[in-house]
Amino acid sequence: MAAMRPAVIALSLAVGVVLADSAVVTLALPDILRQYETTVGGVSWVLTTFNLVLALAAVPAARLCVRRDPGALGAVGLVVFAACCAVCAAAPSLGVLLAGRVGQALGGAVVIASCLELLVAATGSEPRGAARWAGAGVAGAALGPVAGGLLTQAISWQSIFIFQVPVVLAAVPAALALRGRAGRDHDPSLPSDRPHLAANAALALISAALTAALFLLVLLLVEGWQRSPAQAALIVTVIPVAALAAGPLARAARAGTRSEAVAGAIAVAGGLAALALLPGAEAVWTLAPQALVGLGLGLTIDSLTAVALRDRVPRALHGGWTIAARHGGIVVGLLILTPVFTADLRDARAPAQEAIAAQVLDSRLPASSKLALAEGLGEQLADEGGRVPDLAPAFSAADLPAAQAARAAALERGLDDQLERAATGAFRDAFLLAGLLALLAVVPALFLRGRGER
Amino acid sequence: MSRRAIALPLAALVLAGALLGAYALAGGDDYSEVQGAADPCAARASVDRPVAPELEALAERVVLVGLDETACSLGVSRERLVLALPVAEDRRALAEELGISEDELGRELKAGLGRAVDRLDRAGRLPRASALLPAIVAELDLPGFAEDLVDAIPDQTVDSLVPTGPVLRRAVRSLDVQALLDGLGDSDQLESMLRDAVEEAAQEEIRARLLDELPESVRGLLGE
Repeated sequence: MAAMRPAVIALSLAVGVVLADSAVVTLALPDILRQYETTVGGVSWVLTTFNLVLALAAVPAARLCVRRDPGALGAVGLVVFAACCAVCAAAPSLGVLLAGRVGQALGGAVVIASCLELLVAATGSEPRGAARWAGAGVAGAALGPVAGGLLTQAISWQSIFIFQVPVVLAAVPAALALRGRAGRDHDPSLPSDRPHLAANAALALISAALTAALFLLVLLLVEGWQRSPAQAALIVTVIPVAALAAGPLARAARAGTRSEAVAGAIAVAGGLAALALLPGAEAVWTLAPQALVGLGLGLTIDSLTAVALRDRVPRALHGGWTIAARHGGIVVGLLILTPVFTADLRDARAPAQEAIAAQVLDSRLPASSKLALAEGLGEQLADEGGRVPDLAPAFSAADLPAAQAARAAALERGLDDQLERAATGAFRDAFLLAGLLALLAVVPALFLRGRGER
Repeated sequence: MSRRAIALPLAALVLAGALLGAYALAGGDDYSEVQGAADPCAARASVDRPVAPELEALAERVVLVGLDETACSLGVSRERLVLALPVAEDRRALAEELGISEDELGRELKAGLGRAVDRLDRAGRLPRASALLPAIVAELDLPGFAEDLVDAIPDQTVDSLVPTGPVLRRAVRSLDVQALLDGLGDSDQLESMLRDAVEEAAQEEIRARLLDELPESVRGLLGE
């Protein structure tokens, strides 16, 4: 079948947008948290719900695509996904937002499964179609947080969902045009190949670890270090850029999929461990670990997905398994890591407050100024709601005389430094744990030769 | 595994190891530690500095040393004590943690302030009343003739009538600690409470010292 360029572009974009949703709201989480007055643990469900439902629905949706026409199913999935995006954008409460995320994941599962077949049909080649599908997914997952952060800063977190609607709906004509032409190369009555256990297990573990790289790093930047979503978006761009650089590197190395997957898992683990050892709260310290994580991402996801799909039928079903593994891994990552860092954040509270008290007491400001500051600082600390407090309003409210400005500024810097240290420390165990998950991915990756390379 | 296949994981391992080593050397190992609370029983540079001859600075120093004294005797950090005192619920929690009642906590605080005055007095850190007087007069915004009158009083007389140490001890003894704690959230109320306590103590000290100078017969006539 001749390549249908516009259809390939529209369908690839749809795949990218759906899989970007896995992490697109990461940088919007602090804003969502404030709007719905919930906790860090509560807001993490905005990510968890989508990934959990997508993981659970991916294989059933893929089975449906094997039995029914992927063109028609894909169109339905795209419309459901777009409608649920609108629900998320207009959600008056966290409950409605979570319900919208469930709908997005259900529609998204059908979109992802059907688009694998549709892209193969549109490109006229199984390897090219599958590579397009996997590449669009990796690009979406890697660029999602960046796009989400920029939209949150420029407009609002709701705009993330609004912008997805036209992009996804633009693929509906392409899906309808391919009705009856996709997924015809497999007889549904024939037995299916078993899913590639090692590749899918490695995908799950790497995805769990990558959750940390994006979710934890973004929270550390925005909540812990008080960077804006746009700044955080720019900072975490290093991961997708490094992931793109991994392709040429892998091609030049010609080391084989097992070697790429093992090296990628080690790189992700090393990058995450370095994020646990940050020597300062400046964004520059996160760049090298992010580059290592990005290189690892580029080396692992592509090669593992290719191994999981290679020569296995039905294609859509195995595509479904890779999505289930990746998003199941993300859910496991969120479920393991969120309690760890929220507990560490809670434990860091008392020492941080004591450090703040010590610096205020020992500062060279007059007693009346210290008392005025203490009132404001007390309010900020009381209003933290499980988050890292912003102390700047306390200094503005104290309205200290100009003669004390230099000392007040030095004190504010000192207090911010203590908070940044406490926040950085609170994320340390979660980053280390995530690094361990990435390192565990080396074990299944070592089993890739044989079935994986048949 | 071929040499080519081993090279890529090995390169990743070297990169990761180099990055971790560099970050550990740059201080990543202990960056996330916040400033720990100092031992309240040990000397502290910030409280051993000379006290400026102003009531506010003097009151602050007495409170800071008092907090150290109280924290030391209770076996908690000064910061833990400071964070717990302004909020009734936190005070209760601290008292419970220490196995004492809230009243006992208040008494400990009062005793700590008393010991602070003694410690500062012994160390010669309490400014003389004559040194404090110009700032007090300036704050009172007295008419010109009254200021001239106060200026005319010899420093020696001022220092003998209102010696700083005894006045502060008297002020601490008369403090209503519960009211003081309840007013911690309002800096204006706290300031006026402390000022009233010091003024009252100063008046009582002057009265007591003047009476001491009088012959016993005259004191009897005054009903003392």
